[in-house]
Amino acid sequence: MAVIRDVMPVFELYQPASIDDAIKLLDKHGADALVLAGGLDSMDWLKDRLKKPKAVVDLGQIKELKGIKETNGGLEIGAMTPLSEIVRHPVVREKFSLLMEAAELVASPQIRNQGTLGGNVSQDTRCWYYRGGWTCYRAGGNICYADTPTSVNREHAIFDADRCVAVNPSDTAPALVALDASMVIRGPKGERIVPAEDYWIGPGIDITRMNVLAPNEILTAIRIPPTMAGAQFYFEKVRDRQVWDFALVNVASAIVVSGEKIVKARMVVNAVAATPRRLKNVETLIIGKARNEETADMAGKLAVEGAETLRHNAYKVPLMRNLVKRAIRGAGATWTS
Amino acid sequence: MANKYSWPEKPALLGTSVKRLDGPDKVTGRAKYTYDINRPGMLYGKMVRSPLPHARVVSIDLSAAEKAPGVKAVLAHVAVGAQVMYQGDPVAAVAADTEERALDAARMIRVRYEALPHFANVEQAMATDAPAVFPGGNTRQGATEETGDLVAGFAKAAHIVEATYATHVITHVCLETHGCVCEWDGDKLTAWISTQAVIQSAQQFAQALGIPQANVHTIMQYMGGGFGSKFGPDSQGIICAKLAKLAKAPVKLMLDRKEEHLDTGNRPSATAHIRAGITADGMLTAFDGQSWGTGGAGATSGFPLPYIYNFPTRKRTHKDVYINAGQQRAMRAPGHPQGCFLTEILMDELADTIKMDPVAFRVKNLPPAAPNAMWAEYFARGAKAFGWDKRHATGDPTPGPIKTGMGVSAHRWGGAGQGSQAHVDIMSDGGIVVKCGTQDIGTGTRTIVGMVAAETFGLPLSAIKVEIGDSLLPFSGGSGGSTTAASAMPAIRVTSVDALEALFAKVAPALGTAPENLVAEGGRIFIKGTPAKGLSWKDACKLIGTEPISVNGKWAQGLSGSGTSGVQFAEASVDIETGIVRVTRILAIQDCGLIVDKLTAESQAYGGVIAAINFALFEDRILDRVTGQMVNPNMEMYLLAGMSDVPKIDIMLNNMPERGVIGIGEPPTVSTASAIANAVRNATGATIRSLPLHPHKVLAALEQEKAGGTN
Repeated sequence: MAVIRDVMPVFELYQPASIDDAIKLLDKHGADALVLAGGLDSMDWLKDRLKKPKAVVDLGQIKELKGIKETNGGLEIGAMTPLSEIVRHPVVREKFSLLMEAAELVASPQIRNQGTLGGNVSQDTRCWYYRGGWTCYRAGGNICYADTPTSVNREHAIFDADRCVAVNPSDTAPALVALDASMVIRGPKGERIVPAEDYWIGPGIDITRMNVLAPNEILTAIRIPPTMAGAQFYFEKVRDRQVWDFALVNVASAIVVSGEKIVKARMVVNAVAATPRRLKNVETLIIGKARNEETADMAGKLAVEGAETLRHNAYKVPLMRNLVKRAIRGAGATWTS
Repeated sequence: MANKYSWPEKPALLGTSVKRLDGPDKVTGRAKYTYDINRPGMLYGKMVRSPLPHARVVSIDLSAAEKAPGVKAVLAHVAVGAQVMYQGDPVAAVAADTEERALDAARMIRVRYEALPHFANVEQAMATDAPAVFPGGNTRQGATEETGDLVAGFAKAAHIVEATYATHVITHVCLETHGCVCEWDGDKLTAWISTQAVIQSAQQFAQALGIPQANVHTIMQYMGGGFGSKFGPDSQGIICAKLAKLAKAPVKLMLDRKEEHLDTGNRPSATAHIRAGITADGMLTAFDGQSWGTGGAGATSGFPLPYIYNFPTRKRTHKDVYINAGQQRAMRAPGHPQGCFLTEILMDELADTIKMDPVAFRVKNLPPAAPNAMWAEYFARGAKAFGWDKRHATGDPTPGPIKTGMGVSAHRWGGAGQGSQAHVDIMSDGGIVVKCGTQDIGTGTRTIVGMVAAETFGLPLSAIKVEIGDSLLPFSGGSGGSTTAASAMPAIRVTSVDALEALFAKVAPALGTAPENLVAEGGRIFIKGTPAKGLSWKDACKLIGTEPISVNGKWAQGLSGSGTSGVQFAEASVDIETGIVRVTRILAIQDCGLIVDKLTAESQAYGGVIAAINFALFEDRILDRVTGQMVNPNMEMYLLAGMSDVPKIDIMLNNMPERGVIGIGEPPTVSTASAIANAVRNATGATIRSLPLHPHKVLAALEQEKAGGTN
């Protein structure tokens, strides 16, 4: 334990060597603890003094949280595995390249070297009001600054807003949902497995959290089953700049085609709501149909049904519609034939 | 007329590509920027700023901060009862023995505010029922400029385009933030300061602190960008000096990124409602524009309009609108990127009314050609080099979501020089020291000072020791308006020529000739036409004796010029399903008189173009309307291009040695954004009349176009 004193607030730093020790520390400190994975987001919160934990629990020394294991045609990826390692992994590239594409589009090479899969999927929203230190609902207050008639909310939600209109910014999260992954979570009472689809929670359930992790739990691994191995994948991330930026909208899809017909499909969009949005209605619609422009059109239209826009984010509707269309069209969708 | 100071007709160094003298120091970290200066016993300063956009200061309680650990000085910058006019307006400051303790203490300063009504945008400030926020009015209407008979002009028009065009506010985002290190010795102040004006900073420190200018010594050896925002100590510099005086110890006060965005200047916004007429054969007839813009709290927002093209009848009014945001400062060609954008998008719309090629249309409506108005030639050269003949009419007919287009724009700038002084010493060991109180703000000034001296003495650049960036050196002006090269280079030339003459006077007797028969070339001094009859530079200098040659000189007419012109072409591809614009190619044609260092001149053009890509596609200072707070005061949400966003950029410099040296720092950044916006219009067929071209705006414009067009 060392006391860090920088421009960050004072805190006690713990660097446990085992998951069990980490859980014990978290159980002891409860809401006063901050879990540190790659540190890319945590350091900003600390330097901005928007989070002032008494204890920081650094998972960096826990060997069992790192690495990729093959399991019965699938993979188990330690939560502390760096994104760049995932991008390089031969099985990820061969069978689950959707995750490779998503991971490779995160931020920048330096950030991918340091940033972890567990951190990327569990990260907090980027809402600039929330991040600016404004005491909004998500920060424990009783107002949403991003959802007023005059707010600047280009990057905010078009689905499932409930007081808070922030979105989930992760690129790997929708890929994992599309791959039917599950999340391995450890707490004082032992391990529990949560389907990726249920890992993230919206403001209606808990407005201060982005996922199901309790303060005394950590995400230890992500399991990818063989279900969608080798499917036809499509990932696209639309962002202002071609580096660094979080998605304005991203789409991840895994489609299995037999003959000319789609027989299996999982399609997920992120940055449109507080959780990755699995498009079950689109999946149902496209089963049994050919992967063509007509199907793409129908899917795109259906995908955005029920979208509710704010003052500055109406563009997300055509953007999401077009990305879903492209996901149906498949590789080469961006470019003219 | 040529005289002894004239630039050489066949230069050895001038106009060649020479690497920066200080490149190795910069890349190895040996170069000490202001941020790198550390003094014995140095303290760290931190400012407290208004969190509110407009408020009255009700009370300031410094007592807790004064008692905080490590705190050596605390001061209030404003009086109780005073008004703060924008988020980030300085209120108080502390100095402590560590940066962390300074931050902790700053947080303990208790300021109570009474919030007052504020404006976060021009619409709020211009509303007829707006509260009186600024003394003397929330807006200031400028005089009407009018030329010719506007009614007759519009009567001649076959087509009229009427629309509103706008550019947004961006900040300078200097990589090195503003700030300084101040150290007192009695009533003498030494300040290491990140500034574009080292001597003028000394003057401003003296005035603000009530001490003689002779008591102030300012130093700026290296700096990480200013772009027009660093012409003096500003509030943070004066506060730093006061803290150092109070604490009786040196203080370093460097701003953080948020403070940079809020309080160190910005490029004002510009909006204009324009009507313009064109004849059926493509002659402009009339321009009627009402413009407004905001330079923040009480600052102006002027810009040239219409830009460059010859509207025979024209009328223009401008209104400065004040909002509660940090004040504007000069930003790389102040006003020109705005005026250029507002005019150049209109030009493409006008050309389209008669389906005329945008280049031909522009050439037809240019003012007469002149050395500082070479657009017609550049349009022709550029069109050929860029492949303009492959440009399709408005709207890329290619099927699929990726549409590609080309655009073009023109610009002008001044860049004149004046008033620099210099000093040259030649020692008996052959050493040469060139001194000038100019500064290298990252443009390569240090290198070109050395090049001009080396050229004059017929020596390699490595033979010259260059001393700049210090207020104790001979006077030179601030680096603004692209004036540095045109001011300092003539001074260096004149002084070096005079020093060489003094050396010739010492050498001539030994060579048995008169001084006027001597030349210095290739490291030797010899009798003109007879290279064998001479001495090496080193041997020649041995004749100097114990008293070195020591010469003062100053800028003279005839070695610098004024006025530049340029044209830029852009190619962009637009993904109409995502709204993403990618610039694929830029061609920048630029003149700058006599090119001193081709490499650093090109580098200025590259930098200007990239900065303008940021202006066109990425940067945007965003204020929340309700709270008046900037929502993106960082470098995550305030966007600047990454490597992947920078296209192929070709620079074509037009060397015009007969015009003398002219500055190039600003002009290359003027027309890029307009050329990109015109390329986007050419690609998509949708006209976006405001910047930045963010994907949400592009998608919205395309949806609107689908629903029946934007015209």
